[in-house]
Amino acid sequence: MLYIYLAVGGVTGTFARYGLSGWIYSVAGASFPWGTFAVNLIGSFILGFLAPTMQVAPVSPEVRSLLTVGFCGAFTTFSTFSYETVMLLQEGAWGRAALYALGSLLLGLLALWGGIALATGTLRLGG
Amino acid sequence: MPHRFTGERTLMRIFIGERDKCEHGPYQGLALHEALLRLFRERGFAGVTVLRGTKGFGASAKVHTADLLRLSMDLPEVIEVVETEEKIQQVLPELDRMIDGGLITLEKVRVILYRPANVPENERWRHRIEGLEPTDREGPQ
Repeated sequence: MLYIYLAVGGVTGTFARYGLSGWIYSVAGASFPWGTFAVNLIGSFILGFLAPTMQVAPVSPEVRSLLTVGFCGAFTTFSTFSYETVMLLQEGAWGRAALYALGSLLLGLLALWGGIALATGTLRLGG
Repeated sequence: MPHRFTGERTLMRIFIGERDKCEHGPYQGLALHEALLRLFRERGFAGVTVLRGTKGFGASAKVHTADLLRLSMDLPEVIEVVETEEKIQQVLPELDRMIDGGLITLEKVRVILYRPANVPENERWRHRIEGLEPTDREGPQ
């Protein structure tokens, strides 16, 4: 049964990433991996919010897995991030490659922390 | 003496996307580059080359690039055909029906070599690059 929950989360996350990053590129252009950058930050924020929430919310492990492992796992993409960084390096776009790699890492951590802060703040969890 | 396929010919370039499908005819629904290849083969064209692009944009102004995975799902393709102007003109109405969005250009070219691989030695003179003197040897002696 868990597999079905995982599949639902995974498919939903994939389509959400596909739609959102496509829209972002249509607005921001193709000179920087804005689409992947954005979904990774947004996904980190969502997971940051969900993780502490799930610990106190009365949801089944299946639903928890759907949202975290399934949805967030499929919505964000480390492999695409790695691929696009290498492509930028191969083009000799050192500045953009560094900005993308470091920016994704630092802002990703910050986004995740922001999600945790929002969850603990609104739920008045310890901290 | 000129080979049947040397001299002034027309180069046609067809710019499409790899996800384009054939819109009409016996190859409807097939990948467009495959449908075009089959059409030209069926019409006895001299040759066709399909090229895959790694980046580009077209009439829809959407950028496609292999560098960004989300934008790499419909990369550009170019189909190149060299034939007589007459044969190309004959196939244009069919192309118009088969292709949804795309770009087609025609230009005059001069064919100086058109030969299959492994031509027998005694036939080779008929397939030489046009304009070479009879005394020109292949490669430095």
